[in-house]
Amino acid sequence: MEIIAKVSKGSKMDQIYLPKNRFGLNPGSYVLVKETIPRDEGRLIFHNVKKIEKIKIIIIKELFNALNKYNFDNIIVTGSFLDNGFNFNDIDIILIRDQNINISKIKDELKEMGIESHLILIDNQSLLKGISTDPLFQTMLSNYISKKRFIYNIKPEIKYKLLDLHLLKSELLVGNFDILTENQKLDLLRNLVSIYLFITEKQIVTKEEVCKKIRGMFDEDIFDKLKSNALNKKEFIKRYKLIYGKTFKMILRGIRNESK
Amino acid sequence: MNQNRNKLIDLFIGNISNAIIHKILENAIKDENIRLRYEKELTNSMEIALSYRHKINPVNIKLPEKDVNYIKGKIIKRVKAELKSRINKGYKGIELNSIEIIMERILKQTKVI
Repeated sequence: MEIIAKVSKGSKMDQIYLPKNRFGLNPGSYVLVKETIPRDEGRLIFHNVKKIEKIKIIIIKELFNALNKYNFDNIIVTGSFLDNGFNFNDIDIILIRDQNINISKIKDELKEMGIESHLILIDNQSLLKGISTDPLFQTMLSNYISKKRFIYNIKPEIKYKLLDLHLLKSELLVGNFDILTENQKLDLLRNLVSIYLFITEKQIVTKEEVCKKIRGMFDEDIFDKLKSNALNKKEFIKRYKLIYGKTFKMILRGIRNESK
Repeated sequence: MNQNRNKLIDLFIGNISNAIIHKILENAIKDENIRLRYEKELTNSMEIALSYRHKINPVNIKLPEKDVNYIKGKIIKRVKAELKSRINKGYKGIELNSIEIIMERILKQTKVI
């Protein structure tokens, strides 16, 4: 028999009152008194997510429930899953934990639930370092839904060699334009512009700022055109190369100054 | 058809070169934590390269010597040019000697050799 009761304050000793009318727990028997763990009601922390479909909230709660047993310090859902509508390939999930864990097993488990995921396992320190040096992390974390509150107050730190590595990824867009999906193109474009913004503005970059800059650099309708495959390839590549070259030059200048 | 194959080989070379440059630049970064964290980025260009490789015949066995020589020559030229542009601007710690070792490993992985 299990009873949930309240501890009452006594003058010399505190006590727990049990109803007379009960099965078991007879006077004189020994019982185990244990604190109840408050049930996880699935409260989510929203950061810069203004509107989201109810079904996505249900999925996130299911996801958090499934991942509970791994004792992550925090779980953060981010990326295009949080955008309006259903134009996403997978769910970007940042798993924060200091010890290593086999994430392919977790990925398979989520897949069995019907959830395609892109998992990033990272420890607290690397995450904070990532936010200060990596514009992609900054944009990823400019809006999210997490299990626990995640507060950071970090100064941006420009590491040009690292930005050079990140920028290299965006070089793939030009040569592989025809085989990349619209989402992949968008990722590489966002990567390029977030690096450009990070270097020029020297502050933490948000997803909204990057989108605004992309519209300014290319076209107001660039995102719609990308989604509907209505881009003027020649014109787009020409502008993209120009921004890429400009960003690369700034990085090389930074590396040279760093090594002086 | 042949023109299409040559185009695929060139696209393959572009992505493999990107992966090699990435690996060498990664090694040039001294911060071990940062390096480990970004190792997975390599997979991007490798995945694309593999998708091209799957379209280049023969798919499951190594490529003819003529193709291998062409691919190796182009990769070395491309990677060296990219890295030298950085060295000339004062980038330190880039090891040009490792190009061939990394290239051999990646070409084996992609069943080119």
